[in-house]
Amino acid sequence: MARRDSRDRLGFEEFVAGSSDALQRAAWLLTGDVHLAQDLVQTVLADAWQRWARLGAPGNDAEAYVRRAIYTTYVTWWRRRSFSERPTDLGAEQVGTSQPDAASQVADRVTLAAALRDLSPQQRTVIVLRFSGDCTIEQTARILRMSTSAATTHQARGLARLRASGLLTGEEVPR
Amino acid sequence: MTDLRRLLADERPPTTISPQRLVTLALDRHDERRTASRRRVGRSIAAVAAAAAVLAILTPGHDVPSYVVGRVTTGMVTCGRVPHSSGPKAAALTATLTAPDRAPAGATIQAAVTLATTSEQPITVSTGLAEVMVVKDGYVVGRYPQNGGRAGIGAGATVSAGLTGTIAAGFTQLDGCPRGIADLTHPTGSRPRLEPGRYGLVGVLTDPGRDGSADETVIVSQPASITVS
Repeated sequence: MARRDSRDRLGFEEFVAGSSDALQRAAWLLTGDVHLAQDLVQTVLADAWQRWARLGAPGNDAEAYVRRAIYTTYVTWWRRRSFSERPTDLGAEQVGTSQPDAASQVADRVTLAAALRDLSPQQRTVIVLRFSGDCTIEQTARILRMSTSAATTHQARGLARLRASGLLTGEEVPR
Repeated sequence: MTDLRRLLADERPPTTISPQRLVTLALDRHDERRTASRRRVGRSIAAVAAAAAVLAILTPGHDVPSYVVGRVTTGMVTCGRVPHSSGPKAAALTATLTAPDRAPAGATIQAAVTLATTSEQPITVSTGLAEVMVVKDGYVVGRYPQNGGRAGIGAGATVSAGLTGTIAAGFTQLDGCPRGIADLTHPTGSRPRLEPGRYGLVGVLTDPGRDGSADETVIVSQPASITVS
């Protein structure tokens, strides 16, 4: 039993090592809040560990499962309203020091973070699922447990707000 | 044209947690949840028992009232004859009560009721906490109906041949029956102490069924012996 636990633990550690960046990025895009994003990732990984004996078995796509769990858990949180939207403390200093790229790219990132924060949780989740999670509108609607037309509406309104912020200069053509 | 996909792909959280730290935090959270879940179950049982106790005191005409119906030969106050099993599921089920065999008068004792059946078909029983009664000479000489019976805890078990089910534990205080109706004017504090001696303990489970009293099953365990000191 102890040997199996240690093997499971090793597999789980390897999984987290390989996917932690992507998971934290997905959570950050959804929440726009560093602490909430970290909380979300930890919550989902704790669930994943509970199911790891099956999830970590060969042939199972653990990352796809966990990524989807991040979306669904976030949706559950917002439905329960167990957290309130908080403005992030993403100041210019943090952005500037974390990625000293070209000035325009930094400006884009600042604008993107601010623009995403201005969206409603539904709009933001739809946008992230569609443009970062590569989900179709039907998959997005299924994950968010809403109708396809509602998901389409959230997407259209979200994109409109992003355009209004000046972030998008062209037409986004979602699949 | 600014590509939203590219922007999102380039977006990074200002700070991240290292994978090693993330594993530690996730495992800690998992352990915390498991501990909290166990605590919640314990608290739920205690809360349901407390709520049932309050309801029993405050509700006039409670369906399992405690009142004096007679005295056994020893002169003890009683609250009814020992109930017997009845209802559609009763014939196929036997109940066994497990409790301490010795305790001082006034003490609170815990008991568990285990159900078994010889039926080949699984039988599902839905009930509240087991009500534990102190009995002597065919009479109930001590009971706290609010501690069990119909409490809506939603406990249940499915039993089949060779597979027993343990219903949520019940508990009672080793006191006598109340002198008068147990309501606000006669609080349960008016109970006499049980005199030292040998008594029986029975566990009573009530499955309300689907159609209310018409479909109700009452299962009463065989008495277990207890010496009250």
